[in-house]
Amino acid sequence: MTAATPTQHGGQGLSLKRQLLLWLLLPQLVLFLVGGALAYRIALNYAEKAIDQSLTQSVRSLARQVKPIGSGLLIDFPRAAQDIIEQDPTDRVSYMVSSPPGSFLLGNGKLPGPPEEMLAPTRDALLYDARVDGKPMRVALIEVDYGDADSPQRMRVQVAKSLAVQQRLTTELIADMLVPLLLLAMVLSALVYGGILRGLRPLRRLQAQLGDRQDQALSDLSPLEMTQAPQEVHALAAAVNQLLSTVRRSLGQEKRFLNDAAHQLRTPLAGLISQTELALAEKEPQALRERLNKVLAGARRSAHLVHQLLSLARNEVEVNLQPLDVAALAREVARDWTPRAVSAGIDLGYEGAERLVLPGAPFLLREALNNLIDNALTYAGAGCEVTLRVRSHGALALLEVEDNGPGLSSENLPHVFERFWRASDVPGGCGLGLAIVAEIAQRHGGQARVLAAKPHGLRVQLWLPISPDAVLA
Amino acid sequence: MSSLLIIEDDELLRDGLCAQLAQAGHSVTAAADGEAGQALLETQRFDGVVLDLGLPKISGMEVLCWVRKRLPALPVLILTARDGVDDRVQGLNAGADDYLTKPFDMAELQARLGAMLRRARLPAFGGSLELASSHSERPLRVDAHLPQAWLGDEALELTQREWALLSLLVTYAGRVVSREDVLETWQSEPGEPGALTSNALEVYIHRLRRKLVDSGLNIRNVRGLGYMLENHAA
Repeated sequence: MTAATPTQHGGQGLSLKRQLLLWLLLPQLVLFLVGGALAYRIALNYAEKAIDQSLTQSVRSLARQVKPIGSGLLIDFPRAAQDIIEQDPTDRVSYMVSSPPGSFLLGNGKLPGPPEEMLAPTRDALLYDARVDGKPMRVALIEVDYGDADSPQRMRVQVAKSLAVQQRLTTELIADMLVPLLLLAMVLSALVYGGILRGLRPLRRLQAQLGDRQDQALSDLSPLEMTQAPQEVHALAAAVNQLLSTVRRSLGQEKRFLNDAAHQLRTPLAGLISQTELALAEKEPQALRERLNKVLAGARRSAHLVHQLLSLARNEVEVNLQPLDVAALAREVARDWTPRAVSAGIDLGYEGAERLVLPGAPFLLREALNNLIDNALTYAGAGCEVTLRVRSHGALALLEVEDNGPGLSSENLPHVFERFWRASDVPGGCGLGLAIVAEIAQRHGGQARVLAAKPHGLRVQLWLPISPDAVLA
Repeated sequence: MSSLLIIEDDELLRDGLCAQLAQAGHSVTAAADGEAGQALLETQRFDGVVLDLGLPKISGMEVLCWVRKRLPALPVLILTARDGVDDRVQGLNAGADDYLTKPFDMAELQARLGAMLRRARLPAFGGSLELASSHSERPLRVDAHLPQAWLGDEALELTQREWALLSLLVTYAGRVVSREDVLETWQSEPGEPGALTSNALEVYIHRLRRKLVDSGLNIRNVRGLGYMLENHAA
């Protein structure tokens, strides 16, 4: 809308303002031109008629003044009448009486006869254009018969007016009609232009409000104020506001998460540094070994944490869900974990569907199952059973990992999906595993739940919709 | 045991990998970038390659493609710091035999490498290898070329299906072999008609267990998942 717009949007066509101006003013211009031309033609026509009428009257009056007497003619042409006819020096009226037609009797100039084809026996005045001394004239002609029956005679009376009057009329018409029309067009154009500017003002305000934010911190994403905006702009602003609030929320989450993560990342690194320093200073081999074991544990913990943090971050990016056999995926993940389960003395097994297809992101669901099995193997303890199940329940799929380990107390259960919340001090965990699981379930339009197993142990469940439009019960 | 080439630009990790794999009995050569790796691969023979994808100069992916053209049978395990699916899938599509995401557990790398090298030694079950258990004086030797299996000096009497099952379990020793994998292998084998059911499989497992009873090896039944050849629990 401003000068910057066409450059910013280069090839995207005319600005809204230009388009509106073009489509509002162009038809108006056409209307004025056509209307003006028509009005001019009509006015000119009436002017011509008026001239013809006055010429006809003049020629009739003149004819009445010529009276046949016997075989001669009495012309009673008062001075006053002559004055009237000859009054206008610039617009002279010429007249001529001739009998027989063409042979001059009386007049103030010689006037040419009518074109051949117009000469018809008529009592009415005849009107035609002619040139006298090179000037265009309008001529009215009347012919009168007189004389005896045995010697009929014919008299012709002509009155002519210069066409200069018509040119003057034209000029007057242009001045009287076209100038006001032009003024009117200009006023209307100005009104249209003003109206467009006024109408587009909300858009301009919107642009200004958004443009102002370039220098602001991303977190300061207040909604647009569009209380007086017209409906259309309101809808646009509402859409932008919705987008802004989504961005704001996600930025808020990110910020909180970063704060938590910073603490969680720094702590094990600090531990690593201090243990390594101690190890370097240690002289006794047995003690050195212990220190190094702690260094190893710390490094593993950091590695695990980084992995978890990254998978949380990755969970945020766009994923597209595609048909996926979660039963096969679950068995594959469980097979990968079997060697660790065997060495930890845990019986890891699979129960349930041979095949269960749902829209899913394989790497996310693999991550979720990895976390669930990892948790179960870590916290259940040797001699326990860990069972992975995949089943369908109507429109929903249930992915579940159950262990018969010690489980969690009922007051701890509601917290398990919170980020950085930990129920135990068993080393290696960072409190993100189940938070990741919950987010992955949400990404699939599903939900994660946790329940106590009977008689003891923990069941963590993922309820996922099997068809894309299934609603979570 | 095997000669391995490690192509990894991070010195700390390269050093650690070399030391640990050497301790595990492999003969280890290291290269710090793709060019050095390619030079070594052109002049020496290796049993397997551990390849980092994030290399300077020539990327790991380019090295992998190069290896696949020049040495199609050479097993390659790729390491990647990026754990997005793309890297993984791209690597496997480009012909990597296995992958690990950094950071990884050394035990995990050893296990993957072991499985990869065993698979390579049994290309379409045409090679031979030996599994020795600490609990037995009689190692299990499998020669897919003949095909024949021995327990110590004693040749094992195996039907065609038992043989296919055993080679599969030996190839993936320490990892779970699914029922579907076994049934698929059987289906591709000619002869021995009959219903290929899970029950039939259970019968064959039972027979094979009896034949391996002195080997110190055990076929573990993993609930709902399949079978795993492992060392007998102490």
